[in-house]
Amino acid sequence: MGQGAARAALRVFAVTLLACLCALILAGCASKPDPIRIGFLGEISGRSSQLGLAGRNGAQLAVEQINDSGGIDGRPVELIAAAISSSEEVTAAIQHLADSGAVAIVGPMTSASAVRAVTAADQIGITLIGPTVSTDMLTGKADYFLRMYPSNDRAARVMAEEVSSRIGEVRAAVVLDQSNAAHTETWYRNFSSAIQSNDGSIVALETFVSGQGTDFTRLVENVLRSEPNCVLVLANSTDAAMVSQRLRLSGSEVQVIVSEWSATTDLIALGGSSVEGLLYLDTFDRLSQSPEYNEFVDAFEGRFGEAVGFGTIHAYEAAEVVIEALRAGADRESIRDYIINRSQFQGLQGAIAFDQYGDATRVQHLSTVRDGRLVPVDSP
Amino acid sequence: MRSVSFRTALLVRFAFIALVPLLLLGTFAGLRISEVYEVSQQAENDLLVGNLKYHVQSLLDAPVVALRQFDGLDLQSPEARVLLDSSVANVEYVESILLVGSDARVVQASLDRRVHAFAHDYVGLDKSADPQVIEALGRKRVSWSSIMTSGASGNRVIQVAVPLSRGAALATIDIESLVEPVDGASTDAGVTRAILGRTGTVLFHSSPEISRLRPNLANLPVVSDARDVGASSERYRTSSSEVMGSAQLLEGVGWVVLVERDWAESRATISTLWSILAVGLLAVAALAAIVSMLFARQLHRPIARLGQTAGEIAQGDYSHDVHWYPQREMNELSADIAKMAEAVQSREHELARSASELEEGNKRLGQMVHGITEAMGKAVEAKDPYAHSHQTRVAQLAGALARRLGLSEEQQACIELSSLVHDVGKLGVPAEILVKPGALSDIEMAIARAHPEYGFEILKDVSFPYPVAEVVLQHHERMDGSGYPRGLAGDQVSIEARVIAVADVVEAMASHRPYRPSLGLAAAIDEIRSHQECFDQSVSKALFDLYDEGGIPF
Repeated sequence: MGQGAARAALRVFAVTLLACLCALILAGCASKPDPIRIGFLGEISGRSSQLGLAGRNGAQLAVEQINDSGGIDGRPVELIAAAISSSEEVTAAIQHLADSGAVAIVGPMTSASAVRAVTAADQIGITLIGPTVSTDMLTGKADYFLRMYPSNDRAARVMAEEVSSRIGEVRAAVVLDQSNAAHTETWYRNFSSAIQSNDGSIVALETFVSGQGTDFTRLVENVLRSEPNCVLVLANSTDAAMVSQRLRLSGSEVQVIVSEWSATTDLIALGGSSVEGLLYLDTFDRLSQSPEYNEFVDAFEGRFGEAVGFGTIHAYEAAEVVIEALRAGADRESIRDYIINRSQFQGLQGAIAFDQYGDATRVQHLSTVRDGRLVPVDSP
Repeated sequence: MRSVSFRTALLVRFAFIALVPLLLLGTFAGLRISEVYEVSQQAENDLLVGNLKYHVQSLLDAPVVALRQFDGLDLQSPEARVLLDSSVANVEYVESILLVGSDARVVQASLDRRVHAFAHDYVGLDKSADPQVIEALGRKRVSWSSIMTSGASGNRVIQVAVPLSRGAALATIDIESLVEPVDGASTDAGVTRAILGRTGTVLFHSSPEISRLRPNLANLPVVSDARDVGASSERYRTSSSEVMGSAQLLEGVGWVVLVERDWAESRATISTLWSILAVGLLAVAALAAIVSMLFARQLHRPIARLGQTAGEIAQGDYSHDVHWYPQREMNELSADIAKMAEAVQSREHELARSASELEEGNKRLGQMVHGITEAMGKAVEAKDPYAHSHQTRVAQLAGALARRLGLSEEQQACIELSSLVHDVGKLGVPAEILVKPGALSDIEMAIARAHPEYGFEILKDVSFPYPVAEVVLQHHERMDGSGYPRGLAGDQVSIEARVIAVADVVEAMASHRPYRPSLGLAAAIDEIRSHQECFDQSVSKALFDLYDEGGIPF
């Protein structure tokens, strides 16, 4: 009898203990579905990190927005970024992203990295969408590399025609940074041939490697010695600003042209009045009144506290293309074909159309710096 | 109804009173451990991140102090030139310094620390669009740039502009060199430290692998929160582990310092704390059980002792002493039991005395019955002189046979008493018939044979304790039904009558009679042996055994 009561007491003890345990275990468990992973590949540290960070933040915003609206079929999306500090690390980074379960990769951001990345992507069979890669070395190829950005042969041709129509017979001097040769050299070649077919000529070519202690005073002296009426600077914004500053300090009023690579707010900050009036081709209208674009700008500045740049915009659009494809049920194997077959996607400023090689065409605006702002030339 | 021992009931109740609150308390404490521990870890993290913040802040202050030295100087003067170069030499992470005039044009430039040349590149540059210069010149305050790439060295740099009375000074600071002392500072195991730029660039991280493993560091909510409100601490998951992160904003430069502590270690500590708590709970539970048991035993002991006393009293042991108990009720109960035992004992004494008196009376009564019976026998013998002492001797033999047969005491007593008066009916037989020598006529014989019935008639209303009248009636019946008066046979004849029948025959033959001499004991035995069908076999056998042993009393 005594044993019975003792057993009852023990049972109550055990039940209490069990209840406590259950409560603990339940508190610890809160399962959520496995996320869909999208890779990001870009130079987040090191010399080109500004573009890499801009791209990463753009893609991150797209992913956060889709997650805020409930994810893809209830599954959250996760952006896993493989940071590279130079183009040499691209192959390992792509392998890392593929191993981590990325269905597609937004990136890389620079032409130099893209040229290396294509080989690895083709081998692994993972789709890359380059937001800002402009080199025409990858144009018209049936590879795993898709581009959001038009290749620079068209940009160079349009620019050559524009300059020719403004100046007449163009005597162009070119300053070129060899550290991003995939961009700068193709741009230079395309521009050179387009100028020549417009009865112009290249009168000087000065090359340098960024960050190697270039003496810009001498470089500009050399450029001006050939008496050009137009200087094409293919360099990052810091270097382009320096060249512009030295040109104006030398008293030259020559027309300066840059590629979209240089066209950042840094160019204005460092170039000051010297960069007023330069020309470049922009893939988006910074003064656009389109509600999608302005909503995006507000969201981005609210989230990251910095101004949008072309890297941000195109990486955001690239991530949106990937998300659209995933929504339609595409997976790692089928995403490339889905994007090419569908071809038409909505960008922040008008449509983006992919051709059979996965190269996008889009409108480009001739733009300039006016009153310390990057604006379309034909804006009021 | 199941009943539970007092001790078990006490034990269970004590255990409940002690254990249930203990368990609830323990569980509550257990649930709170993580929370409390998290708060302590957060405090430790906040301390670390605070230290990191002040370390970085002091590093950032050094170039500002250096630039302030130009205040009041003519920026184009040779002293400014000398100070310019010594300043770059003194603060090792300053790459170059530009002195900007009020018109935002560069007046003097130091040599670039990395390339030791090209100061002339900067002189005359238009800095009117430079946000730092605008801040310093326009709003007269120190202004820090975002992370930039140095045009000269290609390194990551940050620029700071300090307002001067006649312009501004702008220093380019090499970030790698700046954070080097931070890198040298020791870090606890499981703790990583990071410095993040205004736009999220990782400027420093104590784990070199981090930029590859966690490039989203700058997008952490803890970092965004620190940017918004100055400081933040929270726990979150990274791709590989769970961490407690604390971040603080460096005002002005807009950088965020972040300290992350691997939560796996804390989790292990929490588990240890849990284990200690669990073991502690178990130990306290065991202690509570033991104390309860002792307590229960202490309470139970006097009850058990009183119970034992009650048992002893029930057994007739009244030697109960009043024990002293610590509980008043127990003492009262013990005293009551002692009183009860005393009362029971005196009552028992009284009863015993009454019983012995009664027994004495009974005995006397028995003796009286015996005496009266004997007297009745003697009355018969007075009438029948031949039957002198016959009944007394039959009683002796019948008694011996009854004992031999192992009959009950009551049966023995009945046999003895009946033997003494078995021929009382002869009082009703005329003396002429009784003493007539020679053969009796049929009528005389019939009258003589009526003596058992006369005896029955005489005795039937006497309330002997035994069926004496019935036995007397049957003492001439025979086993084969040849007896009288009713010709009963076998089991119809009572055992007492059967014994007396044998003894009667043997005594009659073995005794002298006035009209004949004794036939002798042997002849009497033979008589029985030769008429075995008439007598009970077991009684006959007892007789033979007695005879063989010489146990016949006459």
